[in-house]
Amino acid sequence: MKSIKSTFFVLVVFLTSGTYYCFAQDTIVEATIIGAEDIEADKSYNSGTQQFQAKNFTAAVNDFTKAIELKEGFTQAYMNRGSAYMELEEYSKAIQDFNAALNDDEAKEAYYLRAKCYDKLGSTDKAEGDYASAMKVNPEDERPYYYRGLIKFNGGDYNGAILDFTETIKRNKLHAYAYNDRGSAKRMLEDYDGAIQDYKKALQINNNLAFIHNNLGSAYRKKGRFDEAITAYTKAVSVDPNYHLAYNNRGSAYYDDENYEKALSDFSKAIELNPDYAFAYNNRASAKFKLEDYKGCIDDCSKAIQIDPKYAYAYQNRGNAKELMRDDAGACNDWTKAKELGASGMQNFNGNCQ
Amino acid sequence: MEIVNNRNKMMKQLIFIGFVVFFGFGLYAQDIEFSKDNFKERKDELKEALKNIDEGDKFFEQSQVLWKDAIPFYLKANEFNPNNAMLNYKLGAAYLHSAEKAKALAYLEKASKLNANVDPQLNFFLGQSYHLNLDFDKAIASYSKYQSQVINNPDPWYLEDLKMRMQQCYSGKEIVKTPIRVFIDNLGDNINSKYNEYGAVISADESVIVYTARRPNSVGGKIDPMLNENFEDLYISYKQPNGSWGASQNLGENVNSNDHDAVSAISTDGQKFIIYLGRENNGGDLYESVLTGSEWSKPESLGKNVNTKDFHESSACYSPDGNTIYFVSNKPGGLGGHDIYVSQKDEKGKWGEAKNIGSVINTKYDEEGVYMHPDGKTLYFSSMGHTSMGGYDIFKTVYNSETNTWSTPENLGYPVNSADNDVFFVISASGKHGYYTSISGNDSKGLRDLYMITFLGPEKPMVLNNEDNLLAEATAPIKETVIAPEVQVKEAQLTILKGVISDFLSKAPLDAEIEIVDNTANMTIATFKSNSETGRYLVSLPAGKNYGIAVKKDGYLFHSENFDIPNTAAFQQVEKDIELKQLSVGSKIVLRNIFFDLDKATLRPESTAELTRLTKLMNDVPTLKIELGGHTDSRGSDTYNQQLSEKRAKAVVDYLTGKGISADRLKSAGYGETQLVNSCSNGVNCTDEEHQLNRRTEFKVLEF
Repeated sequence: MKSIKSTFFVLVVFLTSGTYYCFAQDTIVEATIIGAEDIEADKSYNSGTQQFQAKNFTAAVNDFTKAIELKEGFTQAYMNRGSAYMELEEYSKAIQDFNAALNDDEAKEAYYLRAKCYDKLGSTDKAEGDYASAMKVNPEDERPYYYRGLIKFNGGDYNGAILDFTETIKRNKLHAYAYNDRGSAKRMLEDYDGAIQDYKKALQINNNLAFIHNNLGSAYRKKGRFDEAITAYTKAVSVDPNYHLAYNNRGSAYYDDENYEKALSDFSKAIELNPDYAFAYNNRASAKFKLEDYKGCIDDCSKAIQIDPKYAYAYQNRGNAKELMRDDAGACNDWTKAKELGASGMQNFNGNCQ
Repeated sequence: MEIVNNRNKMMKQLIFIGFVVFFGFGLYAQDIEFSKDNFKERKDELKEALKNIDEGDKFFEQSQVLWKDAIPFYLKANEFNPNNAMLNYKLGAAYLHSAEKAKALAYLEKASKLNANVDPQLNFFLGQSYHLNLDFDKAIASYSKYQSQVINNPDPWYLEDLKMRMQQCYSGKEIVKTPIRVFIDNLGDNINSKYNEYGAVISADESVIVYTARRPNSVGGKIDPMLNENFEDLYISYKQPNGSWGASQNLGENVNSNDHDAVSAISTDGQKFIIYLGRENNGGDLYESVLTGSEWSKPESLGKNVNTKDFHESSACYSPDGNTIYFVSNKPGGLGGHDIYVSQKDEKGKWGEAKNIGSVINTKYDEEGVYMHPDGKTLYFSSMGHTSMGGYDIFKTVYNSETNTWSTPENLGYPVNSADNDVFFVISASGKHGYYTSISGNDSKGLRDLYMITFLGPEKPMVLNNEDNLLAEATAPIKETVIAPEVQVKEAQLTILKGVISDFLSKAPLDAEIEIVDNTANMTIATFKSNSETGRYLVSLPAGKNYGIAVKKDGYLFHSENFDIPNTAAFQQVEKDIELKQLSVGSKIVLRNIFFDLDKATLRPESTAELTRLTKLMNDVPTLKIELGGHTDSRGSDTYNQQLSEKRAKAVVDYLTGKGISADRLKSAGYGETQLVNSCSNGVNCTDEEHQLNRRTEFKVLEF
């Protein structure tokens, strides 16, 4: 309760300022305001919400803080402040706010948001736990399944990820991301046919995601369906003309199909788009090797190594070219280096470079 | 050493031909004879051409080894008339028997187009040319045609030879599918020349090479009439610091004789040679020369267990320990042609009885050029059988000492092997380099040359790297903002209640106590006073509660008001002047905060504060006697309303007596709808709020 005195008699109540001025002519009027702090709290909360929507997250935090101080157990303010902290990437503080919000059974989003914070902080076990709680609180919400699926994917539990993405899709049949990610999980399990199906489904929902076209292409390539792979990669770069990664992949599809001229052209394009793309240099080196341009191969491998001095396969490939250039010592040194760096093809190499 | 050319046997005999087919005149239309009729305007040139043909024929009509010498003459004639089938045929055949075999095919094909029957051997030579060109299908076709020509030849050799060649073609088709990774380098001008070089042997460390060559500076200077080449001699070269071979030197008269001298093997320690010596009276035998100091000894025969009087022992090699030799001979008792034999050194240091190495290695065709790797178990040799792709091919086999068996010979593959003769293969101890003789090298200095093979081993794959954006969320994160919406600030849902509190009789303003109660929670929210001078009061009541307002002052009956403000109520102002009545008999107070369940006399919990207030009044004024009167609105029957009001009044009395107020101070009365405070009687259309005013509980002071 709050009490304000005023010396004026005209009764005017300004409702926007959060303060009650009551004016009574020639009299003193006691104005008793019931629940005034609650009102102030609500006003601060609303202000914070507006600041949040205007992306002034620090100001929003301040407003929410004031609201929380004025009204005990102000769940919505805790929730929104937590969201503002998330925007500011202060995840630990956000978690504290969601903890407070969870005292209110009505704070259904709190588990979900706290899970995202734990995820950001790398506490995947806690994140998974909160996602599970969020699922119980709102069984129809696909989001916890999707994000838990991502955690499982990143943890190598591809089967678990597939299950979660499937649950996501059950709840939202237009979740293109879930289809894509499930496809990727299947791909990690070498179920390329399954992956292709899912990528295609994702593209039916949203045909303008270049990375999904690219993923589809790579799944086709794994199956040896090079024409289809090339078509998919081509679609990827038509959606995103700067997608250097897709050019690199299309080049590899051409390479696999023994079309080394086109492969070389695509690798060059990838390099043009990303001059520091070591993979493209390495791959172009391989195309040049097949075209018997061994010097060109060596140059490109060297460039790849310059970008990434620990690029084992670039050493291996350069060694192959040096061998055919009759530089036995150079080849031996490169293969030795490749083996040191863990190139899987050099495990059995026991060359003495002396 | 010389390779016995089985084709010589065939060339020396006339081929029995069953028939010659003459085709229609049209096929001969393109074949232009060297005749005056065809070259009326070029008589002098024709004469010259014919002269060249005659010169060439002088060689062509002799042994095949001399055909190559016809080429220059034939070429001149061909310049004049390139469309003569026979001349093209002869050129092709001559090239086929020269160091430039690859040139044969074009002439033979042309001859065939001009006249497919120009010579009975055309298809055979075409087959060989296609064969050398690795065009195995065409070779097989040509061989097949020739086969049909000689099918009735009583000498089975022809068909057997063709069968061998066709089998080689089939093998070749498979072998060239998977070429092995090698560099093949001509050993260079310090080793090779325009003459024949072959049969190299190397020291274990590849620093010394000894080989056989037929050069004009051979010891004795003899010329082989069959081949029109100088006799064989041994030559030696040493590797220089820069890795190239130094200038070769003839090993001299101690080692080389006036006859054929060819190196066959060098011992592991480099102290002994096995040398082939070709004498007129011994068919070709194997000898050994030993290095003492810097001098090589005169070669001595390997003995009767190795050499034969009338047969050809052509090559040999040592085992690494020098106690075994493997050698090649065409002596009777073998599997066919030249075979490989093995002999062990006895306790006296002599070579013991030779044994045929067996049918795993030896075939019915010729084997040659045997070499044992320093590992002591891998044997290299050349053969026209097994899976040769043409002529001699180089094979290897490995000895299993547990089972005492040799493995199935493995062709060293293409391009180490070609469709021509590939023989005398030796390999370095490291296995990195091999040395062999080939006549088919594109960079040959002339005739047979020595080559070094560098084995690159299995192909090391080129590795490509790719990446994908597997996860959508990582690639294009979903921007999700979860934020609760604004709340409706309750200040807009206030009810402002204000007014003046005064004395009922005097109208004087009173400073009374105003108590605000949350009836639902049964909790006093606020207590304040009206202005003592003006009696004014003002209170803001946020929406969402059922408020009981009690105005109290000592000496006065309290005043009760009720404000039930729903959550959704809009802002409103209510002016309510309150006149407090002094405690006097007959004074009535409406208890606005006593609530009953619908159609019942059950007191609701929200009535608690008001009842408590009433109880306190009764306790504060012990002499006070009151009547609790129940009143209803006009809706419902009179009788029903009467009964209900009585029950409700009694309920309040019961509550008070339950709180210890003596029953004799209390009286209950039900007035039903008989004392309406407004005009909302039966049948009158009123609002709920108007009816609500009539629904009340009153208490009246009876006595105090």
